This record gives sequence, structure tokens and C-alpha cells, in this order.
Amino acid sequence: MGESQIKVDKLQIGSKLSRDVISADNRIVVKKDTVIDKETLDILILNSIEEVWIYDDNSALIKETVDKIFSRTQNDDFMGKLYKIVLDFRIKNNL
Amino acid sequence: MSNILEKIDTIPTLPSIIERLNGVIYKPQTNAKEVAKILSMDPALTSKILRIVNSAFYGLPNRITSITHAIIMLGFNTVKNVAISSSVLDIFKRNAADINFLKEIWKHCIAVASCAKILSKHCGQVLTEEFFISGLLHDIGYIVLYVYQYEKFLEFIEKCKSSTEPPILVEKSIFGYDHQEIGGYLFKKWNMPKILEESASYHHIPLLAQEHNFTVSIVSVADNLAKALSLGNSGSIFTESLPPELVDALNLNALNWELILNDILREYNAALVFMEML
Repeated sequence: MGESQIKVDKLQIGSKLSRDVISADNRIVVKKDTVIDKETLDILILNSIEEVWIYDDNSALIKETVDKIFSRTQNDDFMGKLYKIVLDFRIKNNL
Repeated sequence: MSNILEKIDTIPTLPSIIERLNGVIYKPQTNAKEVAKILSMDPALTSKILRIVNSAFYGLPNRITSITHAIIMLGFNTVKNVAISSSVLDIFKRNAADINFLKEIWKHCIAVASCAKILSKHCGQVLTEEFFISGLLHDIGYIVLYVYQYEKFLEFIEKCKSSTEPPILVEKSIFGYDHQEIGGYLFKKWNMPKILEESASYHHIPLLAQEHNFTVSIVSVADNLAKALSLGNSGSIFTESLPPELVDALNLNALNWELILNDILREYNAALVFMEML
């Protein structure tokens, strides 16, 4: 995780993240107690975020939860492929 | 579980009007006038049906002003399905602690109904009405848990956020049973059509459906699609792997998904008129 990444204290539900909080490799950094709930995941998906890191090295829970979502996009099974098609569709249609 | 079953057993029975409707609708000699006569005993239901059949969802060229006219234009099944779903929802909305979350669940149900209808069409089905209603009512058990086990339901939602287990297992650990078992039990108790009972009972385990395997499989894919599209809220956004046998049986790999997703979006936006049932 690069030092230059800007920390996000609160994910703004329903809004697009500004590009300056997203690193070049599509990571964001969030507070330790940020809950990755449905709305937060929507924000991550719509902003093409690939990884979330919390900023005190205690990242197990948040990373694991986000990994569960994104692993779906890389699965070889049918639903994994379909999930990726749907994500692309959502991004294209701003859903 | 016995606690939940006791509560389910205190859930009011379906209005007698729906029982009477189910009693006549499949008889070949039943005519539109007869069905209209039964429905006209409930003016509130009649007006709700007319509002929905006159919406853009059904896209009729002229305004429908009577149930008889609605049946002639849309058929027995459509009118019956609107009446059933409206009556089922009526029973629960009165007891919901937080109507806003119930709205989100219902929105998810409308999304699944829309996905099921469009998917069935792309899988070669001509009569898609039963797919829509099966999708619309598939999560009835979930609504029961939400309305009658509110505190535990909140615990379930919280636990889902951090648990690595599939939500269905989280449900089992908290409630003792999952929403499929509850939904199937309730529809059986209400003597609802088998297609609805099986959709409620097996949409997470579609290969176990006995009589309506195809419909339940479509509803199962539709449920995952609605979650991936993030339309409404069923407590979890996680999609599930589909059994390879199901993927092959529905020939899902051969479908034009870009086209299907566009059709779903159009259908869903029109179907949002079903939110008026709440």
C-alpha cells in the first residue's frame, strides 16, 4: 500500500468517489471500523475499486469481505462470469 | 423454530375471496363475469387491480374500467395473480415494524419477478405470467421472518455483514430454519398453487423442486441476477454458484445477456407499479 494514498474517513453513500481518493491501481484506504455493507459495496463497484485497505494494518475483516465480492468476478463458474457481465452493464448504465 | 411456526399459525388466512377465486379459476366453464362478481366483493382490491392493469406495465391501449374488461384483455391468470400478490402483501404490511425495509424487500421481489419473466421469454417460453408471479412471491418466507421475528432479523442483517458464511446458513443459525422452509410451509398452509409453493421452497436449491423444476430454476437465476443488479434489498448482495446441470438445462451460456439485461431494466421500471401494493 503506497504512502501517497489518501485516507477516506467516510464513504459517501450514493455518490461517486472523487478520483483523488482512489489510487492508480484502484485501491482506496478506509478507517479501521468502516463497515462494508451493501451501500458501501455499491460505491466500490460503481467506482471500479478493486481493493480496500484499512489504514492500521489490521485489515483482515474488510479485505476478506471485499474479496468475497470481487472473487465472484473472477470465478470460472457460470455465475462468476455472469456477475462480471452484470457489473460491466451497471457501470455502463450508471446503475 | 416452534416459536416461528406458532407465529405463522397465527398469521391470518388468505382472504376468503382469494380462496373462492382459486376455486373457480381453473374450471373450464368459469367465465369472466363470474370472476368479476367474486372480486367485486372487495372494492379496495378491485380498485388496486384496476390501477395496476391500467399502468404502463401492461401497456393496454385503452383504459380498463371493470374487472370483466380486465379479464377479457389480460386473461384470468393475470388478474388472479395481481389479486393474490396484493392480498398476500396486505397481510404482512399491517404488522411490519419498519415499512421502509419491507419496501426494499418488495422491490427485490419485483426485480426477481421481472428477471424471471424476461429470462423465461429468452428461454423460449411464451406464457410468462407464472414466472412473474413465482418470482414476485418467492421470498415470502423472508417477509415472514422480517415481520414476525424483527429483532432476530436485525441480528441476521448485522451478522451477514461480517460473516463469511452464505446468508442461508446465517439464517439457520439465528432462526433455526431458513426463509425457504418458512415460505413453503406458509404457502402449503394457505393451499396456494404448487408452483408458488415450490418457488418459495427451493429457489436456493432449485434441483430439489419436484413438479416445477423449470420455473424454480428460472426463479433461482433471477434471484441471483436481481442481487447482482442491486435492485432492492434481500439482506445480502452475494450471488450463489448455480449447479452446472441447471446452467446446461437452461442453456444459459448461449443467451445474449446484454440484450437480456436491457430488457430486464425496462421490465423492472414498468413493474415498479407493484410498489403501489405497499
